[in-house]
Order: sequence, then structure tokens, then C-alpha cells
Amino acid sequence: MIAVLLRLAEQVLLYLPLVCGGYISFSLLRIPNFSTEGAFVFGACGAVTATTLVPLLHPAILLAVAVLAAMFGGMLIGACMGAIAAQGKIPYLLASIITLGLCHGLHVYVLGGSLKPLHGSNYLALDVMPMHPELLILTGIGVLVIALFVPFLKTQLGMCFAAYGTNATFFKHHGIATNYVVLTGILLSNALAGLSGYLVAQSSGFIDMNGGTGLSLLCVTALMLGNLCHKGIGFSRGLIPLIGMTLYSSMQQALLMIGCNLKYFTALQACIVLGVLVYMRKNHGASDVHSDHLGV
Amino acid sequence: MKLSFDLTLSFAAGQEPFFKQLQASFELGKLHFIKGRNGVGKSTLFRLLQGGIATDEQTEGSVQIAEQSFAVTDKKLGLLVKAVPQDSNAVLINAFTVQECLQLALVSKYPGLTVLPKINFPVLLKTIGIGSEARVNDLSGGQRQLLAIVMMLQKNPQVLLLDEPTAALDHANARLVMDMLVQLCADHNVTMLIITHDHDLMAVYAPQRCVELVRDEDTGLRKLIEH
Repeated sequence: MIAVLLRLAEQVLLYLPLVCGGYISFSLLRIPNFSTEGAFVFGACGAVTATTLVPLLHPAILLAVAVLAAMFGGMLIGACMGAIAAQGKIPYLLASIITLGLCHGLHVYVLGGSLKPLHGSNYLALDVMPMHPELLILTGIGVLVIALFVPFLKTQLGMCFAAYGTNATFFKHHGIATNYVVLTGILLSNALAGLSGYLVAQSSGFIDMNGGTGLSLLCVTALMLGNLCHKGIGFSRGLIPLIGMTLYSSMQQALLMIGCNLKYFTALQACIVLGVLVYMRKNHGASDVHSDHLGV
Repeated sequence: MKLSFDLTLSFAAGQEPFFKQLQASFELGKLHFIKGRNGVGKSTLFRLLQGGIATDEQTEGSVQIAEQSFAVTDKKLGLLVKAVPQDSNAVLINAFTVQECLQLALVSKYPGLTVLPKINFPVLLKTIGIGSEARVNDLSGGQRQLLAIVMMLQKNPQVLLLDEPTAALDHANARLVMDMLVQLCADHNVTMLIITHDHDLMAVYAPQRCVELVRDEDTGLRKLIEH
């Protein structure tokens, strides 16, 4: 049981930054920012490239370099999507699809194949728990992410993100450029996705070019579960990604324990999302779930 | 002390002007009504007074507020003149509390990572039964309109433009909003220009003077006439 719990914690911590980023895009700004899938892989590429450029530094410094480079890599993809949407006046959905196309080309160029093994040392690993050597540092990163994320939602930017998702015309009447709000949101969201991408790549020992595929659905599912829990119990909204991801991973682990094959899990995810959407439409009226808003 | 303007506007280069040296003068710190038929250009006039010029539009002229004179293209005009749209929903966030909305109204004053400071909750809102933790969603039409007006007044404008603030309200709520506007006008020493089609309100709140924007049938130009 403890082994299952540790595995669960590890999985939650690996994807927590991604779901926090998804919360900014999907729940606060309410834009279909699927470029997080590209940022996830590009973040990993950025981190690995950065650490190979300065290999002789102390591992702790290299970890910091990797984390920053991963976030920067993710931000680059976010900047790309933001520029397409804001400067090109392209709808967000189309802008994210175009960005994903660009990302694919970039990944092929950077990785040179569908899988790239990481040959250097694992900067997440410590000798404390031999079965889960990365858990301690992952916990540290997870605590830091949540400790920054929850108060961030109360700042000017955090409130602007929420305001944009609820009423984008608000900013026009108050003389604030919406491009600034949206672009910052996308950058932050993709930076967190890039961080997650690095953590997953470092943990698994390779970068998978297709590793980002389906992660938007993961985010949406986790956020829906978190939202449902939030409505039922009531806790700080900043904890929705953490609670949602914990529920999501718990379901996965429970299915594993009863012997299910996880290759069908994506189909199950889709069913969960569909079920929750139908439930929300029936119980809260269609207006609660705008067709562009993904319902989270 | 006066608010006066002299404005010329064409919607595109080479087009006949929509406004040609449109002039008017209003006493500062008072409440004034502007009426006019639909499509005559009242909302366009309000947009120009805020310094809002759309792409392709050709404008010239100036707006004078007390001793200060601004070219109509001057961005500073937007800081001194604020507008509350007809639909108050456009400036409110339904999912937020009243306190959060008031905080967010001052958002441009603070850097991105600052936690927005609590606002001294306006007594006026308390007197009409709006609590600071009330959800905007739960407010009545009149309360929402007043909240939108108070949010704009927080920016300390010298001139507040209100586009049919009572259009969607019943008689009781319309009177409530107008009474509060008179009070706000005096408390904040702000000049309010109000577009309305409600002759009863004009008779009660500005019996002496009303300005009408009309289209001259001969020339096609707009002019402001006093009643």
C-alpha cells in the first residue's frame, strides 16, 4: 500500500506544474491553449540542452539551471502562440493548433528522432529512498509550485486572468490592454508545462517527442475532478490543480491495482470528461459551460 | 468653470464629416442630460470625449476641462474622462465579490505581482444594501448599475459619461440610481453627462436645461441645441 501511495505521490508531483499551468489557461483565462502539449516536450529539450552546455557545475545548480531552462523553453512556445493569437488576430484554438504544428517540426529538429535518451546524471535523484530517489526533490518542487501558485491567484495578474475568463470586455472599459493579460497567462501556463516536461523526462530517463500528446485531456480531466471536489467540499481555488491531479492519479492507481490496462485510460478520461460535462449542463444549465471554455 | 468641446469627425479620410465643429459647454461639477434620436451620434460623441478614436477615423478639435485644454487625440483625455456603458455587465465581473470588483477597478495602478489592497468600502454602497462580500451575480439591476458607476468613480475622473444608465431599470430603481448620481456628483465634485430618453427623469433632475443632439436636415451635420 505504501508503495502505491509513493507511486501516486510521484505521479502527482510530476504533473502538478502542468495542471497548474492548465488551470491558468483553461479555468482562469478560459482559452483553449493546447500549445502546452508542445511546451511540455520543448521544456524538456531546453532543460537537457542547458545542462549539457554547463556540465561541470554542482548538481544542485544544474537542477536550478534545468528548471529555469525548462520553464524558458515552455515560455518560448507560449510566446509563439501568444504572438500568433495577439498579433495575427488568430482565434486561440487555431493559434494553438498552428503552434503545435510548429512545435512538431522543432522537436524533430532538436531531438533528431522520436526518443532521446538522457545520458547525464539524474539531478532529481537523491540517495535517501532507493525505490523512489526523486521523491524528495519532486516534493520540494511541488511545495514551491503550490506555495507560489496559491498566493499568485490573489495578485493583480491572478485576478486579471480570472476577470479575463469571465468578462474580457471588462479590460476595454478600464483601459487595460488584454494582450498583456493573455500573453502573460499563456507564457506562465506554458512555462509550468515545460517544467513538468523536464521532470517527466528526467524521471523516465528519456525525452519522448510524442510525450505531450493527450496532456490537455489530462489537464481538463484533473481540473474537472478538482472543480467537482471544490464545489462539494470548498477549499482554496488554488488547490484545485493539486486535488484534481491527486484524484486523477488515484483513479489510475486504483485501475492498476485491479489489473486494468492503462493503455485504455485515455478512453476512460474522455468518458469522465463527457460525463461531467453532461452532468453540469443538466444540473447547472448550458450557460455554465460555454462551447469555447472547455467546462473547467 | 466649464467643460467645453469643439469636435470634428469623419469616419474615413475624404468622407463627409459626421461632426463638424460640434460645440457645447457644460458647467463643471453638475449633472447634465443629453438626449437625441437613435443613431444621431450620442454614443460616438461620448467615445470621442474619452479620446477613443477608431482606426481610419479623422478627427480634430479640442476638449477643455476647466483651465486645461486637450487635443481630441490626446491620450490624457482618457484619464480624466471615464464612461459607464449602457450595459453595466460590461464593466463588472459576475463571479467576483463587490470588494474584488472595486479592487480590480484600480488594477492599472499596481504592478502585476502586487496583491491588490483592500478598498475602503464606499458608504454609499452600504446604504443601498450592498455588502462588500456580496457576489455581483446576486445584485439587482439598479445595484449593479450603481456598482459600475462607483467603480469608475474610484479612478477619480473629472468627467463621467453615462450612456442611458436607467434604460434597463424599473421606475423605482431608476429613481434610486438617479438620486445616488446626484449625491455622487456633489460628493466627488465630478461632472456627469447622461444620455437618456426618459423625459420624466429630465423633468425631475434637470428641469432647467437639457441638451439635444440633432441632425440638421439641410446640411446633414449634427449640432447640439439647448432646451
